[in-house]
Amino acid sequence: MKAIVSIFLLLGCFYTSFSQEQEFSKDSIIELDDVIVIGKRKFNHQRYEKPLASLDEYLEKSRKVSMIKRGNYAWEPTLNSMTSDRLSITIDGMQIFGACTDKMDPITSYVDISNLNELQIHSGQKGTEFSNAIGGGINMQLKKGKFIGTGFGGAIDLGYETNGNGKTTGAELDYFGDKFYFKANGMYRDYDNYDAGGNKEILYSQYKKYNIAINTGVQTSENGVLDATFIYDEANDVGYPALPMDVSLAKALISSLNYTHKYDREEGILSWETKAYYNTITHIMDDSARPNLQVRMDMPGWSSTYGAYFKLKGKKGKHNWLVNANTFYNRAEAEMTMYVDGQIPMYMVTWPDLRTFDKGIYGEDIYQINKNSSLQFTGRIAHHTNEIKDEQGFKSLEIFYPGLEKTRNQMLFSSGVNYTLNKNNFTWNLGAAYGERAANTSEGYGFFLFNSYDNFDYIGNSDLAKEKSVELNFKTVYEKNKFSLGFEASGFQIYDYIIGVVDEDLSPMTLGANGVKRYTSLEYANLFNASIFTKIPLYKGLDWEGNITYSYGADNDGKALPLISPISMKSKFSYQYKKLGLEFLTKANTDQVRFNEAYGESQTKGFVVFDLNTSYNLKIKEQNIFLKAGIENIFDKEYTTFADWNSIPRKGRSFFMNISYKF
Amino acid sequence: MKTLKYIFPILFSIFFIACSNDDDDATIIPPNTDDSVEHLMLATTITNDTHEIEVYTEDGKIHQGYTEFTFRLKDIATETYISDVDFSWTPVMQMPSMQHSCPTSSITKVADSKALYTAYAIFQMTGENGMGWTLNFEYTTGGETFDASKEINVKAATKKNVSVFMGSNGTKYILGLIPAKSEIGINDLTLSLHKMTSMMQFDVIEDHSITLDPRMPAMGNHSSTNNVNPVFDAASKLYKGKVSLTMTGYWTLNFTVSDADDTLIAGNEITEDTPESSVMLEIEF
Repeated sequence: MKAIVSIFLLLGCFYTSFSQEQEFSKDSIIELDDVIVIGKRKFNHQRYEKPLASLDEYLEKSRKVSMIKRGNYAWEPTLNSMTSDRLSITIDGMQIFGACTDKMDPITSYVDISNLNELQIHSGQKGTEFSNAIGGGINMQLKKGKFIGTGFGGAIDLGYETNGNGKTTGAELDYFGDKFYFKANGMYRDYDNYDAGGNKEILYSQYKKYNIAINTGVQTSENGVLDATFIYDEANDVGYPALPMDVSLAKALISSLNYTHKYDREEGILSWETKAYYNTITHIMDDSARPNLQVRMDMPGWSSTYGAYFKLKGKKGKHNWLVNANTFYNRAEAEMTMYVDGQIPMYMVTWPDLRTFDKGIYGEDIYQINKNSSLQFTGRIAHHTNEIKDEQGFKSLEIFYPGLEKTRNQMLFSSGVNYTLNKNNFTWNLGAAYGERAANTSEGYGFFLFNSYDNFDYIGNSDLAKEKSVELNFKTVYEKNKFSLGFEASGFQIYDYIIGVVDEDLSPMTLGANGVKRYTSLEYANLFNASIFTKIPLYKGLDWEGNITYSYGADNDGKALPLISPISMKSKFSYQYKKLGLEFLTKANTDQVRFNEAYGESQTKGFVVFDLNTSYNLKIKEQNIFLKAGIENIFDKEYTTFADWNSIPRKGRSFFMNISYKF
Repeated sequence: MKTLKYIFPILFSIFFIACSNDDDDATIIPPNTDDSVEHLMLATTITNDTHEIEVYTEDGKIHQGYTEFTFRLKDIATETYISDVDFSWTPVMQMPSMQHSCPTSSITKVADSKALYTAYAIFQMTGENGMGWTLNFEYTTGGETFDASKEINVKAATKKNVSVFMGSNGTKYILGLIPAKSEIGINDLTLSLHKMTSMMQFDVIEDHSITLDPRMPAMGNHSSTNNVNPVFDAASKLYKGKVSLTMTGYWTLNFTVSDADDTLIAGNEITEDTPESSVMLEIEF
C-alpha cells in the first residue's frame, strides 16, 4: 500500500513539473471515458497489437475494463470493478441478455470483433442512456457501410496462433453505392486447448465460433438513412476449464432496423434516430465430454429481447442536448435436468420464464458555460416490471418465499452532473451522480444456480430492494504535443448492495457444493478505483504508453468484495518506421493483498508478462496487404490473475501471425 | 367437465325419482340409473348366494400401501343396487404361522350418492397371485346379515409408501403415505398413522407428533426448506403437513415420531453418517 502511495506521489510531482508549460486550449467537449476504436481506420481492426484478436482481448486493453475468465472464451467484462450485473452492456443501443444462468455467455461473446466499429465505455451514470446501471455502460457500436460510391470491395483475413493451434479466417464483401450499400462479413475461429506457461495443457479450453453479419442501408432522402443489421453468431464445443461443464451450443440471432435523420442546421433538433430490434439467444450447457461424473446435466437456457428506442439530439444556444426514450421486453428461461444412473431424471426450473419489461427515458444536456468549461447533466427515469410466467418456476420459488407475487413493479431513477474544464493543456473533470438498478434475473429469480467460483448454489430473492449508488469521480489530463499524463479516480458507495450471503439453513443441490447462498442486500459497499496513465514520445517514431490502476472494494464490515483487482500496470513501447511497426508490451499485477475467502477467493500472486509484435504494411498499387506477427508472453510465464475462476492459468507463450488482404 | 359427469346422473336421478311411483321400493335402484363409477375401475367382484359386491379402485388394482376403495352391493336376483347397507370389513393376510389384518377405515356411504360406499385400507405388505390377502365382508341390509369374502391381489408398490416400525415403547406402528400427485413446489402431504393393537386391530393414533425431512439421495442428500411437519387432522383422522420438492425425481421422506409426551419413539435425524431415517417413505415423480 505504501509503495503505491509513493508511486502516486512521485507521478504527481512529475505531473506538476510538466503542468508549468502552457499551451493552446481546445474546444471543450465531454469525453467518453474510453473508446476503443476498432474499425475506423481504413484498415479495419488492424491497428491493434493483435488484429484478429477476440473482442475479449480488445476489451482487456482498455484501462478501465478487466475481464473475468472462466476459460479461453466468453470472458465477462468488468468496469469500475463491477461485473455485468451492475453494467449496461448494449450492442448499438440494443439490450441483449445472456441465456446462461452461470454467466458463461456475457453478451460480448455474441458479437465478433469484425462486427464492431468501436466500443464506447462510459463510467458510472454516464453509461445509463439505454438502461439503468451502477458501474457504467459499454456500448458496442456496430460497423456499418457508407454511401461513398466506391462500388465493390472486400477483404480477407487469415490468422494463426501457435498456442492452441488457433485458426482464424475472415472474409468481407462490400458494395458501397451512392444511395445504397451492402456489407457482409463472416468470421470463423477454431481453437484447441491452450497451454499455460510451462507447456501445461489446459483441458477443456477449446472453442469454435463463427459469425455472419449483414448490414444494408438505403439513403431514403438527402438526410435520411434506413439500415438493417442481421448478425448470426454461433459457438460450439466451447470448453470451460473452470466449470464442471462445457457449452455445446451458444447461438445468437441479432437483428435491427434503424432509421436516422439528420438536419443541416446549427440550432434546434439536429438529428433523430429510431430503432426496433429483436434478438434471441440459445445456450446449451453440456457435460458429455467430462469423465467420471456422478451426475450428468443438461442445462439449456433461452433469452429473447424485443426493444425499441427513439433518440433526439439537438442544440439550443449553449445547450447540447439528447433525449432517448427506450423500452425493452426480455424473456429469460432456463432449466436443468440431472441424470444419475439408476434414477429417473431430475428436472428443475432455474429461471422461471421471467418477463422483464422496462420503459425509460434518458436525457442529457451539456451546457457550455464558456469556451473552456461545460456542465453535463444526465438523468434517467424508468418503469421496470418483472413477471414470472412459468408455473413450475413460480412454485419452485414459492418454496423459499411463501406468498411470493408473480409480478413486481419498480421505478428507477438516476441522475448525474459533470463539470469539465479545459485550460492550459489541462482537462479537468469532476462529477457526482446517483443511480439505481433493479435486481436482475438471477439475483431476483434464480433457483439453485451453481457458482463454481465460490462453490455455492445461489437462490434468487425477488424481494431485493433496489441497489442505490452514490458516485464521485475526478479526472485530470495534461496533454501537450504528443505527451499526455492523466490521473483518474472514482468512488462508489452502493446502498443495498446485492450479493449472495450464506444461508446455513439451506441444503445445497449441487454435489460437492459448500452450501447455499441467498441473494441479500448488504447495508452498503464501497468501491474505489484510481489510475494514472501517460503517453510519452521518446524519440522519433518511438512512444511509450503506460498506466497503473488501483482498485478497492469493501463491504459494510470492511471485508474485501470479490473480484477486485490488485494493483495492475500496463506498459507499451511502440515504434513505427515507415511501414514497419514494432511493439513491446508489459503487463504486471502485484500480489493480491485483499481477498475474501467467504467469496471463494484465494490469494493470487503477482506476475509480469511480456509481449512483442511486429507489423508490416505492404501496398501493391491500390491493394493492401498487411502482415502482422508477434509473440505473446515471451518468457512463457505461468500466471493467473484475480479474475480467473478457479485460478486456471492464462495462456503461455504464443506466436501469432496475421495476414490481411484488402481489395 | 368432471362436474358435468356428476351433474348429469344426479339430474337424471332427480328427474326419475320425481316421476316414479310412490310405492316403489326406495332402497332398490334399477341398473343404469345409478351413481357414476366412470372415474373408477372394477378391481374385483365378491359374491355370495344373494349378492355381488363390486369392488372399485381408481385404476382397477389394489396396491400395497394406501388404497381407496369404492363398493357397491348388487342384488343378484333383481340386478339392482342396494342403498341401505351397513358394511364392516376386515382384510386378512394369511401367513404360514399366523394371520393378521391391516389398518382400514370404516366403510361409509359416499356423500351425495345412492348406493356407493367407500373406505380405505393400508396394506403393509404385498400379496400377489391371489396369495395372502383376503377381503372379508359382513354386512346388513333389510334386517338380514350376510358374509362374503374373496382372495385379492395386492400389487407391490415400486416406491416405499408404507412403513411398519417398532416404537421404542414396544408398540408396532404403520405409517402410510396417502398418494397425491407430486409437483415441483410446496405439496400437501397426508399420512396415516396407526398402531397395531392386536393382530386384527389397528387404531388411529391421534396424539403423536411427526417431523419431516425430505431428501434427495442422488443429489448428495439435498434437502428443502419450508416443510411443514404433519399434524393430526380430526376430521379425516389423518396427519396433514407440507413437503417442498425443489425438483422432480426420487425423494425420501424421513420422519421421526414422538409420543404425546414428546418422547422420541422411532426415526432419527439425518446426518452425514445416517443419510436416512429408520422411518422413511419414498416419492418419485
